[in-house]
Amino acid sequence: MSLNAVVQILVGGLAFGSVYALVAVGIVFIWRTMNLLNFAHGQFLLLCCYVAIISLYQKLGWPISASVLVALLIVGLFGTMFATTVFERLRKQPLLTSVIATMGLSLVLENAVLLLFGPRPYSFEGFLGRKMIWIGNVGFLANHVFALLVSLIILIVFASVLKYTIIGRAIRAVAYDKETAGLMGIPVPWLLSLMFGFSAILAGLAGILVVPVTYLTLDLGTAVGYKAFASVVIGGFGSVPGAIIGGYIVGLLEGAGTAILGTAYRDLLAFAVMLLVLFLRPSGILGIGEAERI
Amino acid sequence: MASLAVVLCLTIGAVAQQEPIKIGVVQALTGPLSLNGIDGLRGAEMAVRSINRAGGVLGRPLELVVEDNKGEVAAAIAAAERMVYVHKVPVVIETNFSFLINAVHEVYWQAGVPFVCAGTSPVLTQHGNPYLFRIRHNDKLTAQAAVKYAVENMGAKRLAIVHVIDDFGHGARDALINAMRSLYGIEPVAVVGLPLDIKDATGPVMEIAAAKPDVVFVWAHAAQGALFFRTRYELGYTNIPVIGSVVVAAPATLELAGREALEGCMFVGDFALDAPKVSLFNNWYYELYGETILSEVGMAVYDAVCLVAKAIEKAGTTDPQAIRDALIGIEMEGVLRTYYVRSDGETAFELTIGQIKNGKSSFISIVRFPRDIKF
Repeated sequence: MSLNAVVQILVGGLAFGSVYALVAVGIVFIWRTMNLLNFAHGQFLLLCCYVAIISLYQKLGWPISASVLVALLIVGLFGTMFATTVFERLRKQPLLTSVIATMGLSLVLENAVLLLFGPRPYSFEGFLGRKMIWIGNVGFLANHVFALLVSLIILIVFASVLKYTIIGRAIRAVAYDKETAGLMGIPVPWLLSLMFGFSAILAGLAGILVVPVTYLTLDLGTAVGYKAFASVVIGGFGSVPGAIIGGYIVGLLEGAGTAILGTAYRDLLAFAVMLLVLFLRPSGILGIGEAERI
Repeated sequence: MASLAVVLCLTIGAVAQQEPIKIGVVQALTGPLSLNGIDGLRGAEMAVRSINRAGGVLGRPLELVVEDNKGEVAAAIAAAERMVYVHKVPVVIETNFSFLINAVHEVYWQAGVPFVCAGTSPVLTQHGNPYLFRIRHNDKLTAQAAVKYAVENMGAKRLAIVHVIDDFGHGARDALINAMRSLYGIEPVAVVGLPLDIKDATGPVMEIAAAKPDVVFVWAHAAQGALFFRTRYELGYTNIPVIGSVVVAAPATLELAGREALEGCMFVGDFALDAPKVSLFNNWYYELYGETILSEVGMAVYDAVCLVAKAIEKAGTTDPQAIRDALIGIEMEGVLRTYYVRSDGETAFELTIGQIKNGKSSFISIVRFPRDIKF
C-alpha cells in the first residue's frame, strides 16, 4: 500500500476518532455528575440522526441545517426528560443495577427506532456532498475532513465553556462535590438534567457528523457507543480531556490497524492497546484516582 | 358472472372454515439484519395470500406462525426449538443467513421437521441433513459463473476478492478461489474481508486498488457492499471492474450507494429487476407495503412457501416426514427461477447475469447448470 493510501486511511481513522471523542465526553460527563454508566448513550446519537435526517430532512423536506438544529433540541429535551425521570432514580441504585437498566434502555430505544423507521439503512451525503479535498496529490473524502474539523471546533468550544464561564465552573463544582455545590447555591438537580441533555446533544452531533461517512443503520448507536467506552477506558475514566485523547487514539489505532493488518483486524490494535493501558495503568492515561477493584 | 362469483365465494368460504395448515417462518425481524428478515416475512405473507386466494392446500387455508431470530445465534436456536416443540409446525421457512442456518439445522434434523432456507453458503448442504432444503443457489455455482465470465468475456487475468466476514462470505471466498484454481490455475491477487459492522471502507478500497486487479469479485450483504461501492466511487476507483453477488442488484444497495456508484457493475445471482416476473412481484409488493422490494429474500421466501405448499399437496398430509419425502423431485416455476428439488437439498441451478445500466439492474443472460451437477 502506498504512503498516500496510508495517510488517507489514517485521516479517516482520525475522523472517526473525533466522533468517538464527542460521545465519550458525554459518557464521562454523566459518570462524573450522576455516577451512572450510561450504556444507552449511543442511542441518543441514533435518535438524533433518525429525527434530523429521515423525519425532518428526507420526509418533510426541511433544510438540513434547520433539521439538525431541531433534532438536537429534541434529543436534548429527551435527554433532560430521561435524566429527571428514569436516570434520577437509577442514580440511587447500585452500579450493577444501573448498568443493566441502561443496557435494557438501549435495547428499548433501538427497537423503538426500528418500529418507527423500519430496518432499512439510510444514506445521507452530508453538508458538503460526496466530494474529495486534495492536498497535493493526496485526496481526502470531504466528509472525513468535515467531521474531523467540526468535532475539533466543538470540543475546543466545549472545553473553553467548561474552563472559563460561570456555568462551566458550576458544572465542575457539581462534578467535584454535589453536596457542597448545593450548599453554595448551585441548583444541582437542574444542572444535572441540563448536563444530561447537553451530553445527549453531543452524541447527536457526533451522529450527524458520522452518518455521511458511513450509513444510518440501527446498530450505529451501539457501534459508536462501544468505541466511545473504549476511548473512555484508554483516556481515563472520569477525565474529560482523557476521553477526548482516548477517542483520537482509538480512531487512529483503527486506521493504523486497517493499514497494517487489514480491515478484518482493524479493531485488534485499538483493543490490544486498551488492554495494555488497563494492565499498566488501570485508571487510564489521564484517569482520576485508582480503579476500584470489585 | 354472478354465478362464478358465488362459486368463488363458496369455495373461499369453505377453505376459510377448515382448520388452517400452519407453516413456520423464522426470520431476523429485529436487530441490524432485519432488512432481509422483514423482506422475507413479507414474501411469506404474499405467498399465503396468493395460495389461500386460489383455494388453499388440501382444501385448507395456510397460516403463518412467525418467530424472530433477531439475527443472533442464540435467539435463532430458541426460535427453531419453539417452532418444532411448542408450535409443532410440520415445515418451516428459515432465514437467508448461512451462519444462523449452520447453528439451527440440527434442531430440525433431531426433530425430523423439514425446513427450507435461503442461504447460499456451499457448506449448508454438506452437512448431510436430510431435512435441509435451500431455495437459492449454492455459491459454488455463482463462483464458477463469475470466474468464467471474468476470464472468458472480460479477458481478466488478475482477480481480486472482497467478501463479507461471515459464513456466507467465507463460503463464497473459498468457492471463488477454488473456481480460479480449478478452471484456470490462477490465484487471487488480493482477498479482503469486510466486517459485518464496517463503518469506513477506505481501507478495503485502498487494499484492492493497491493489488491492481483486472476484476474484483464482491460478495457482501447490502450495507457492507454499498459502503464498499460508494467509497470506490468517491475515491475514484471505478476503473476497477466489478462482478458481484446479487448484492449489486439489490434495491437497497442501489439506494444506499447511489446509482452512479454501481453503474457498469456486473452481477451473478438470483434476479435482475427488469425480469418480467420480478417486475410483477415488485409492483404487487409496492401495492401492499408502500415500498419496493428490499432484497432478493422476499421473492425467495415467496417461492419457498409455494414449494412447501406443493409438497403438502403432493404428500396429501401434514406429516413432516411425508412433506420431506414429497419435496424431493418437485419441479416448480417460481418468481426467481425454475426449481428442481434434489435429495441433497439443492433446488436452484439457474443464475442470472446482469449489469447496472442507467442506474437499473438489467438482465444480460441466464446460466444453466445441469441438475445432476456434483458439488
